Amino acid sequence: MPYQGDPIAEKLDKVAGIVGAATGLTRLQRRFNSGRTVRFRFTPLVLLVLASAGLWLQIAHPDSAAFLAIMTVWMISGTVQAFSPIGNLRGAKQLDERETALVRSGHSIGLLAALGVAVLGCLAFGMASIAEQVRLPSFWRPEVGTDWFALAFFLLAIEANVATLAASAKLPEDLEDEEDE
Amino acid sequence: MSRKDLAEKVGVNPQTIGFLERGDYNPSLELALRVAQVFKVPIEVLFSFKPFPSVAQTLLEQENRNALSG
Repeated sequence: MPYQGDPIAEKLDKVAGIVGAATGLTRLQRRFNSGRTVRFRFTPLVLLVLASAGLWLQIAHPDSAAFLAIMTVWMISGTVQAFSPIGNLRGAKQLDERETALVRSGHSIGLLAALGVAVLGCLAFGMASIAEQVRLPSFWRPEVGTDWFALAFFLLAIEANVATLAASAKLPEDLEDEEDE
Repeated sequence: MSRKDLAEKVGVNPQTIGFLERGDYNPSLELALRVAQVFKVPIEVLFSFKPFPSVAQTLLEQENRNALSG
C-alpha cells in the first residue's frame, strides 16, 4: 500500500515502487519474505561459465590472482543457493522429509559432478606429466599454489551450481493458490 | 482445514501438503500415517496407486446411479 501523508514522501514512495517493479526487487523481496524458494535455470549456468573463465585466466596467467575471481564466483553461488530449493530461507529449525530429500539429492548430484571433474582432471594432469617426461607435447597442469587454490574453488563452484540446478529441476511447479494460504 | 493447519499437525511445510494433494510428492509411510491419523480415516482412503476421481466426477456418477435406481 503506497504511503499517504507528506507529498514529498508520497512521491519518493511512488518512485521507489516504480524502481522496485522495474528492477524486480519488489518481487524478489516478496519472495524472500514468503520464504518460498526460487527455481534457478540460467543463473547457475552463467556462474559455471564464469568459474570456467576464471580457471582459463589462471591457466593463461599463473601469476595473476585469477583464483580470487573463482572464489568470488563460488561465494556468489552460495548466495544464489540460499534462495534455491536447497537453501533454507524460512529459517526452519528442521526441514521436513521432502525438503531433506531435495537437499540430499541436490548435493549428491553436485558432489558427483565435482568428483567426475576431479577424477578427469587428475587423469589429465597425470597424462600431462608423463607426456612431459617422454618429451611429447604436454599441456597445463597445476604447479604453483594459486593453481591449486583455483582448482579447489572451481570444484566448489561446480558442486554448488550443479546442486542448485538439480534441486531446481526436481522441485515441482508452484501451487497456483499458494498465495491464499 | 487449510494446508497450513494440516501442515502444522503433521509437522511439514505447507508447500509439501500442496504437492501431496497434487500428486507431485509421494510421502513416506510415516507421513501418510500421520495424515490419516489427523483425518481419522484408514490410509487407503487418502492414498492409492490409482489417481482418485475428481469430486465433480464422483458426484456425476452418484447422480447417474440414483437416476437409474430411482
